[in-house]
This record gives sequence, C-alpha cells and structure tokens, in this order.
Amino acid sequence: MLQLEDVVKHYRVGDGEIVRAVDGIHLSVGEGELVALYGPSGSGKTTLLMLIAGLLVPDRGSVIVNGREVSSLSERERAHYRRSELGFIRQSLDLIPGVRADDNAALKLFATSGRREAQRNVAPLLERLGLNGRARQRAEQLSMGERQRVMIARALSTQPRLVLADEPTGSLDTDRGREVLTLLAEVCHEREVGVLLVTHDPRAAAFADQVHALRDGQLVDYEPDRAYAPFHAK
Amino acid sequence: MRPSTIFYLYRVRLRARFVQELLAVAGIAVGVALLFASQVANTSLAGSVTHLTDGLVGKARLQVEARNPQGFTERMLPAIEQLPGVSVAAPVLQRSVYLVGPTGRASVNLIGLSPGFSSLQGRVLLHVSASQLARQDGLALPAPVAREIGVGPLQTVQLQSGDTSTKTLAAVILQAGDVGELVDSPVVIAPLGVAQALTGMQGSVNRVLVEPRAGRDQEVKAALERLAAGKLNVLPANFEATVFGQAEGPTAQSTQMFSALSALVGFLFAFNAMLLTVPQRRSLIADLRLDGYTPIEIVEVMLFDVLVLGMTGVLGGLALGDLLSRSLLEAEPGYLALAFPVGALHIVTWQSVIIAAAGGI
Repeated sequence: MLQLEDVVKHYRVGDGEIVRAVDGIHLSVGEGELVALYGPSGSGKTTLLMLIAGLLVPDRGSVIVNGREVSSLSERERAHYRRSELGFIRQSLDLIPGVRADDNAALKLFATSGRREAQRNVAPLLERLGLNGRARQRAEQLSMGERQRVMIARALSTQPRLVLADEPTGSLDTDRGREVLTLLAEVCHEREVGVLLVTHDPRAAAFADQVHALRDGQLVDYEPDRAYAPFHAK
Repeated sequence: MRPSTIFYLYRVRLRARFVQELLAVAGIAVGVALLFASQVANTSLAGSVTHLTDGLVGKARLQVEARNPQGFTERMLPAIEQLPGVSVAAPVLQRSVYLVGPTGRASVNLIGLSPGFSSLQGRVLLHVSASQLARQDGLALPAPVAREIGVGPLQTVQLQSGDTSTKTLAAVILQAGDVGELVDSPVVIAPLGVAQALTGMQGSVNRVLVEPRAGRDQEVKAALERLAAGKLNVLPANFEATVFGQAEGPTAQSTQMFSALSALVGFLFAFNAMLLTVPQRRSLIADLRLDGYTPIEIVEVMLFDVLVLGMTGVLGGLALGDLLSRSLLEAEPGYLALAFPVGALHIVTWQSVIIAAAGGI
C-alpha cells in the first residue's frame, strides 16, 4: 500500500549548510499493518510524513501509495488524495476550538457533504471510539484522551487505506496514551488500514507489526533499550 | 465546502475567539472612521461652497464681475441684455454682512436678486417665483440661521454692513423644502432693491450673471469683454468655486495628510488586533491542508472570515466616522469662512465611502 523507495529530501539552511532531513529511506506499510517509527527531534520524522502526505516533494526517490507516485500528482489531485486515501492524526491540541466533537470529527467530510449528512456519517465511528455521549461537546470541553480519539475519528472518517499518526500520545498521560494506542491498533486492524506511527512513546512498539528508528534522516535498526524521546537524547 | 457549512464553522469558531475578533473589528472600525471622517470633512467644506455657487448661478455660464467692493452701476444691465447671443442676464448684489437677532449674531452672505433671476433656475430660487421675490419686503433667512440668532417670521433683525447698521424684517424663513440642502449655507436672500438699500449700495451690483444661447459662449464672452473695457472681469459663472478650490489648498493638503495618517493608524490598529487571531487561523489552515482541502477551498473559508470581519469593521467605522465628521471635525476653517460662504453642509460622496470601505476590507 505504501512504498518508499530511496526517498531523499535535503534542505539548505541560512549559512549554505545542507540538512539531510530524509536521506535514502526504503520502507513499506501493508494493509492492516501498523509500523512504528522512532526517532528524536530533528531526525526527519515530520519531513517524512509531509513527503508521504504530498505536502513536500522529494528531491529523489518515490513515494508510492496504492500504486501511484504521489509527487507526480497535481496540486488538486494531491488534495483529493489527502482527503480520500489518507488519514492524518495530529496531537490533540489541533482540534478546532469552539467546534463540537462531531463537527471536528467530520471536518474532512464537510468538503463534500452538508453538515447533517457528515454528522450522520461520522456517528458510528464516534460510537466505536467511545465518544457517542460526548459528540455535542465543544473541543475545549473534552479531555485530552477524548480529543485524541476525535482526531482518530476525523482521520478515519473518509475510510482511508493509510493513516499517518504524528505523536498521537504526545499530550497524554500513561493510561490515556495506552488507551489511544489500543484503540488505534484495533480500529485499523478491523478496517485493514495501514498505519505509519511516528512516536517517542516506547509502549507503541508493543502494538506495532514493524518497528524502525530514524536517525539523521536514515532508517536504522530499532534498539528497545535506546531512549528516543528528546529529553533522553544524548 | 458549502456556504452554509462555511458560515457554521465561522460562527462556532467565533465563540472561542470572540474577544480577539472584537478587537480586530474595533481596530478596523477606528481606522475606517478616521479615514471616512477626514474625507467627509474635506468634501463637505469644498462642497458647501460649490453647492451654493451652483445653486445661485443656475444655467448661467458667464458673469461680469466688479473688481472692487463698491460694485458697478446696474445701468450696464440693458447693454448686456441687448448683446447678441445673450439669453438671460441677471444682476446680483452680494456682500458679507452680520445679522443680529435676540439671541445671537451670525456672519452671512447677503444676496440681492432681481425677479428676472428666477429665469436662471438656480436652486436658490427654485421654489420662489419672480412675483414672490418682487413682493418680498425684507430678508429670506435659512432656518438654521434664524434659529442661531433667535428670530422668527416677520420679526425684526439688525443687519450690519461695513459701518452701517439697519433694522429690517425677517420676511421669510426658508426650510429645506424651499432651497434643498442650501438651507445649511449661510446665505440671506433679499430683493435687489432691498439689498442695495440695506448695504448703502443704491444703484450698484457686484456682478451680472449671463446665460448665453446654446453654442454662443465664445461670442458672448468676447462681446462682454468689449463692454467691460478692461474695467470689469468677465469670468465663468462658477468662478467663485474655482477660487475656493485654490484657497482651500492648504486645508485639503492637511486633510489628505490626516487621511493618510488615519489610514496608517487604522492599519496598525487592525493589524495588531488581527495578529491575535493569526495563530488560530494558521492552525485551521494547517488542519484543512492536511485534511485534503484544496487551496481554493481554504481561500474560501479565509475569505469568508475576511468579509465578515471587514464588513463589520467597515459598517461600524462608517457609522463612527459619520458621527466624528458631524461633531469633532465640523468646525470650518476660519480664514475660509471670512471670504467664502462656507456652510454646514454634510456631504457624503460615494468616493468617500468607497475609499474608507476599501481601506477597511
């Protein structure tokens, strides 16, 4: 489903120095597979997600999703790809303040449907994620764990085949983090959705089918004893 | 995204940033108000003189004007009327005088007109017939002037012109229905003979307004210049408005400077206030991009924000600006009021509205 073939993305910074954010990555994620990617801050995790989402274009290599080269798509096609084939889970603080949970979850559906129809479509998903009693609450009235579940609902609302999750447990305590990881793994397995999970959370490895680490833009073997969180970086 | 959904999203997002949005609206409104008020003040100043001049000269396109305050003899009138190509010639006596009533004193322009003046169809006498003017034995005062000096119909008023002071009658109080917006101009109308007697200028006039027949302006102008023999001016009928345009140059420049500063201050107000809402909007844009919205769809959402914010700010600003222009900025520049009939006209042009609204948006 997702194949990265020798993907390279370099940046030139102010003094002319070249930062190798992503440097020759090969990776694949299959249907229903959860791949965890560890790495400290600045290791190139976010750049990699932006390349897969089609928000950045690689300098070299291919990002292939469902057999299509993402960088060859037009701007409009890439937007359509992000809307219908991709789900993106961010940290919970990114919910739109003032907006109800069900509307926050239905944000992707608003592009093609009216509000009522979008709310109807997202309701079963909210129920599956344990939010059916909280659908009418505004974002700021939800707990952090609930907000993160709303983000998962939004990502899955258009029934994508690939989900990218950027630090989904970054703002959660231990119990809520485990809850969210469990739900994410369950729902994605049920729906045969491939997940690329970028994280610092060492518990994520337990839910993953593949575990990798990213260092200086390159994939390296994951070492469970090595700490990847920024506050542990040596 | 459907318009109803865009509206819904705007409305619910507003709950979470009401104070910031209110500050942004207030910033825009203040900027628009300052810009609009200065524009209206400037337009009203120039417009009051132009309106009076146009209202007086009517269809006249030329005038013969005295070069000194003593005027020239009205016996020239038949000679002007008999010139080939002249359709109407109307003598005018115009002097700056003071009117003193029971409660105040007002500086006004006394305009003495002959009954034939109504043929020019100027707005000053649009609703007054020649016979009415001929029968009038006293002054016709605009209602605001009458109120200022505390005089009513058929009451006595004192007219001071130069070193003479004469009592006369306030024969008619003119309302807006009689002279339109000219009611706000500081003019007092009297039959020519009455005006001459009150000012001690018997047999004299300041100018004769001339309406040439169609297509004969040049011919009539040349004939008038020959008749004037270099002792009188032959000018366009609305020359006073042109002179005023020159005289108000410094005022216009200062108003333009004030407008520019207002626009800058308003921009800084609005910019600072809007910076408060930028993080939330940037976050929304990032959300929408990641969730597959095209740039055009994102622009639609943001444009709606801009329109609501801008329109609310602009409407509030126009209302506030109108209030400012009527209260703080209504004082006329004294040096202009001494020489020109600067009135209290409040003129709002489409240009003023459009400039202020465009600035706000």
